[in-house]
Amino acid sequence: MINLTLIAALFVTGVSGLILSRNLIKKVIALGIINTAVIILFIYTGSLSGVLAPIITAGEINIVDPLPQALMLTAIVVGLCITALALALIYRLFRLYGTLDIREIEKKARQT
Amino acid sequence: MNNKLIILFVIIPLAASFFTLICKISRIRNSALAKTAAALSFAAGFLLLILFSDVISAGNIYSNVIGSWSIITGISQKLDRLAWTGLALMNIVSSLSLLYTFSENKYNSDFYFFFLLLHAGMAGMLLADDLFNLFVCLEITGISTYVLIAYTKKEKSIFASFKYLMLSSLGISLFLIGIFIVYRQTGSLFFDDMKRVFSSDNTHTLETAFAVAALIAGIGVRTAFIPYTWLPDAHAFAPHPVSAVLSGVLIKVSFFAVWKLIIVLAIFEAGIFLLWMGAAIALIGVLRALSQTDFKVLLAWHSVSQMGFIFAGFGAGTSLSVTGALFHAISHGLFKSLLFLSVSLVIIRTGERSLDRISGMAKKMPLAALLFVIGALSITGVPPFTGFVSKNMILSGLKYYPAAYWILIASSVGTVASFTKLSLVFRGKLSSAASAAFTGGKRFSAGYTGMGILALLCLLAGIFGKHLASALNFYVTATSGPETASPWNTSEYIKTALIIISGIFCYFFIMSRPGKYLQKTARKFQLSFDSQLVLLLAGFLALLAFLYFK
Repeated sequence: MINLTLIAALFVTGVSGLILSRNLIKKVIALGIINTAVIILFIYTGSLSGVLAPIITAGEINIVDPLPQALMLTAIVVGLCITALALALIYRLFRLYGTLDIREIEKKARQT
Repeated sequence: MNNKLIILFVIIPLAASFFTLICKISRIRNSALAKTAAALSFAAGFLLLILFSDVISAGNIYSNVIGSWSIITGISQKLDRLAWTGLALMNIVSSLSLLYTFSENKYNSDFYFFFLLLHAGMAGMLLADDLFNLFVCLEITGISTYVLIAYTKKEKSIFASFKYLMLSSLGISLFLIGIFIVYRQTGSLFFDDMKRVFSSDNTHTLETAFAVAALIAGIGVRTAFIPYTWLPDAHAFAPHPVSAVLSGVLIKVSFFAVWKLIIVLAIFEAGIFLLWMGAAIALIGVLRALSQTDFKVLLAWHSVSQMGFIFAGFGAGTSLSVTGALFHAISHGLFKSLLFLSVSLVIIRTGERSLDRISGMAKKMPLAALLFVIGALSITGVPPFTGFVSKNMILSGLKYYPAAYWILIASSVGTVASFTKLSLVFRGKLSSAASAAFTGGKRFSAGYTGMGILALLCLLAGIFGKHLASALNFYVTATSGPETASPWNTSEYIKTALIIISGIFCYFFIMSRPGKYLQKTARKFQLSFDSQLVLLLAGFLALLAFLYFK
């Protein structure tokens, strides 16, 4: 239970960072934290399902369920792409607006 | 046809997109090869649709687990009527928008790479028969959309793309949590297994409610059914053909995914939530649209509003309104892409996008004006165009919910008013700014052909609305008895006429001095990005609370 609470705390940390921080890069970091919380949730709960590696040998029973791991592998790759793309967009935004503060950018975007 | 062949719907655009990537890497300056690849990919898509047309005529269902893996670990796909309809809509609208990109002729190979990748992803979403697969395809469509929106590298489009990226990534995190709970409860991500578990055990614990809310909200971000999110900016500042595809196809594909999930999770009581949410965003979308002066922003707000109609019809759950929602999804795909493309032509020719500066373009561009009028008549629901049939089907299906019914009527009035306003682009006196900025530009025959076909389809879908409606009725009831109240009776005509007349009065009000002041005040009111994030979470929590206490 304590583990799940910690994961939930991590998730909430990420969400509040995403909403409260004004710096775009910090927002991306917060998104990474949210993503990590979800990944840990899957891997941790999936690890409770067995103890042996899910490499198929006939008759093996006590294996870890491979599906959450496969899903999370995908999620990690996707998360990486998203982070890279977000940082590229932020770089462009910084070049155009000269600031990383979301409120400044919104103010300037409204004027044009 | 062989079951295994349905994967070709995904493989062909994917292969074509990799071909265009090779063109890009090998530094082929000329984009002709990429264009050919894209055109061939859509041609193959149409061929496949024809080959699999027994799905629609005989109701066959093709399903396949790729590579013959066991159903638990494999990627499973299913082609049923809903998926076929979605694929047909996608191929028609996107191939015609592709013709427009050929005419516009300012995109490189990398544009076609992402364009085709987007379509591979959307086809995958429509065919997906397990949650894992749906998640992957959602991300493929997502990432290619972010890049396409930012493609012009203008300030606003980059910012719009960034906002969309953040909001939908948060949505995807919720979606993953939903997958987690579903997998823990059912031990399978395969739709049929989930359906079995969820429809037999219909007790709503907090956990199930959380899973359902997370899954629906995760995809709901893409359909923008939580108001004030990313959609208007993203659709307005994307490259023109991309706007048409995003508004015409992408939100419909996500809507079909929501539809599938609701059936799989057997949560039909969520319908009431979707009904009220839909009615609310239909009205909010129209009110916001009324105050806009930028052509494409105005149209984008109408996408929000029309999605509201679709969700309201779907949520009401009567056979008639659900058929109407499906019909409206298709007709919105046709007319909204037509509207985006025809109005964008003015932007291409003049470089201006504000109603304050442009008016009376019909003298310079009569053909574009005609196409715009057809689109506008469709969206406002004038017979014999397609919007008339689908909108009236939704409205007649809503008779048990009078409040929602009147909200949608009010939104229809607003739609008429704001399209009367938008038609100022073409009507009235030619403004001096417009005539100064107008450049003849190159020929646009392919683009006009594409728009012409869309206009023709709007007309045909309206004239043959009755047949189309009874064909679509199959999806809902799975019986052949069409329970379709015909919209072609006198009272419906009178209703439509009244809506149009009050819409025109409403237009005169917003163009008067107090109306203009109201518009200006409304334009100033814009939600910040942080509040959009909060709204997304609030929408999720509201859905959760609704499902739990229901």
